Amino acid sequence: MEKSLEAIAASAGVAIGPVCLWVGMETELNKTKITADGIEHEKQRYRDAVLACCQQVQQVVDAAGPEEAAIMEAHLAILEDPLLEQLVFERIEALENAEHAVYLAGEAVAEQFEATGDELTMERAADVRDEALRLREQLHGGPARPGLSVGEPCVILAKDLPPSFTAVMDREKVLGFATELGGRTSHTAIMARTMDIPAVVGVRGLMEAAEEGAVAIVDGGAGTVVLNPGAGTLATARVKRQALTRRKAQLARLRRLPAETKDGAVVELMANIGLERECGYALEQGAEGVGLFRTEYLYMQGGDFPSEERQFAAYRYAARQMAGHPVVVRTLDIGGDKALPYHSYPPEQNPALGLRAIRFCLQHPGIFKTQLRAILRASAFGELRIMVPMVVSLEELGATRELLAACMAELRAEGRDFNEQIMVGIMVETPASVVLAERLAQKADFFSIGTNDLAQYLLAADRGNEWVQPLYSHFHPAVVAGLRQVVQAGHAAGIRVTLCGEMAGDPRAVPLLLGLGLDKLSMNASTLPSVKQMVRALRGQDARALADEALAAATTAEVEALLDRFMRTHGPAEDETLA
Amino acid sequence: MIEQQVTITNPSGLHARPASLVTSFVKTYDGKVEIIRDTTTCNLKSILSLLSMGLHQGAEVTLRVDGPNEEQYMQSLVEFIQNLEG
Repeated sequence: MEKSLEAIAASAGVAIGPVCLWVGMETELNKTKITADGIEHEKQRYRDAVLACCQQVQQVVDAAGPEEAAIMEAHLAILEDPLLEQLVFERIEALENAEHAVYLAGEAVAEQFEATGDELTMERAADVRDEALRLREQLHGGPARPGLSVGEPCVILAKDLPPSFTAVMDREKVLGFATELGGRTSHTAIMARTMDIPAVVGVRGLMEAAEEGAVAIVDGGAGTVVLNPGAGTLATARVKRQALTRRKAQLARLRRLPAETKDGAVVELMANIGLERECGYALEQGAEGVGLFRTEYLYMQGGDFPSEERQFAAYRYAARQMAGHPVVVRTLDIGGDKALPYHSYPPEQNPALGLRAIRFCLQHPGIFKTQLRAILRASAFGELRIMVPMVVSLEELGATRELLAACMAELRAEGRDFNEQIMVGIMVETPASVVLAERLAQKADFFSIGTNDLAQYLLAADRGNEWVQPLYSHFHPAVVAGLRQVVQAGHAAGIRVTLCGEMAGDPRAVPLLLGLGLDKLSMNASTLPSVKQMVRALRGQDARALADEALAAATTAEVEALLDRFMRTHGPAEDETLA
Repeated sequence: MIEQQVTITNPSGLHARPASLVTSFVKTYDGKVEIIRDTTTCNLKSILSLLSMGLHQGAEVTLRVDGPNEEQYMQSLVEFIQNLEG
């Protein structure tokens, strides 16, 4: 019987195909403690598993063509590696059983690889995880990686997918995936968007309802999973999939064209990213830089605050990848509602108004300086900029600059290279920063308006709260007026103003934003082509007239009606601007 | 035990293919071979250790050989590393 589940839209696109249930290897699988007299036995189990795995891989090598053989030989070298053995034995001696020791050792090596910042080495981390998994399956006597050896293209359903999954899966065979866990910014969701695979995450009850081999539809744009769809549902989904494919092909042709209006006004379109690895996809989508590098993910990956080296590697990777295009690194925006599992926070009545973002960083200068040093060091490798979130006062910007100056002095003394002129800007996302925009513009090198938080704080409406949802809109006249005020203040001081909230990726909002005078828009890379299409269909003077009308509007509904009318009369026709 | 300094000259450094070539070469030697940069010492028979060092072109490292025919072996190892391509 048809069953439809609604959850979080993680990566747009429609996938239709047979279900493959990914059971995977749980991190905690067979994790037990051994006793001291079991150490030798566990070591022997490990040696036996290595031998068996080597034989397996050797068979693959023998049967493979030269290219695959070279790859699998590298895997063979990992299995036989003395460092891996040493790390596994150390953990067995700490009384971990062989399965868990292999898991820990594999992760330790993979993380070291990822910290080098070298692209080729970072890619090898997946090989290490792959072989660690092979060893664990061998030790466990379990199945040979369910879901990975799928024969025909399928839709993968899982409780959760490990980061290594996306690296080892066969892109041709995975049509789409859905998981029970995860949110829009979880690793799985980000990787799905990066690889342009339809995905839905946070689907409650998914695994209980799912059935291996039955047909499923994953609609990553709508955030729905349909199991055992009926003929009607299936036909509708097929039509939608076809339309999306056609539209994608059209938009692909826009990638190399500039984002300029019909009368030649240029607006820079940039990407928001959470992982340094997203840079490649951003460039592919035609981004002219990274307007928002959310660094929180770096802090959520490990069991502790990330080291300067780890962060340096990530920022340097992004700087190099973007090859001279700006990369705006937002300093740690965490605390209150976004907690780190390894740090204890004081309980707060009202986390959205609590100790978060720059407030948290200034209270923990040690943590903040580690990040600032890492960004500075990476600034020697590309056009990095620093952006401070949640600013409400000039003092916060001043204190940040003081810490930055201290970091610069340290780095100079250590003889390290960095960009002495690195630009420092602020996120304009609090009512105070809008009111103080003229004064802040004297001290900041750029503004970037975060409309998600700005709308929430201006309207005093929590956007996650369904009871006040109707109040929350970035088209509220107060938000529109706020945008105008910030743009004018920025331009009067000669600094550039970017908008990096979800509003920037909403094609309907684009004419208004251009009319208000925003210099740059930064958005999820997947929406960039359709925004560019919108920009290219516009005339600057029409957009300015629209903005003036919107500024005079009294209600959200009036603003939206204006935008809708404008879309009908001035929006891009299906094939316009594509020629 | 002998040591010698060497500069990595091949364009991609000791990553990927060149790194596996070096470890395969060293594995056939009966003694201990280590590579040292700053304060990090790694077993050169381990591809995983070598890759974690992230050695780019221009990196200056010290090689340490401990075993039979050290002098002669060191010479052939240095030559091998300096003649790496890619």
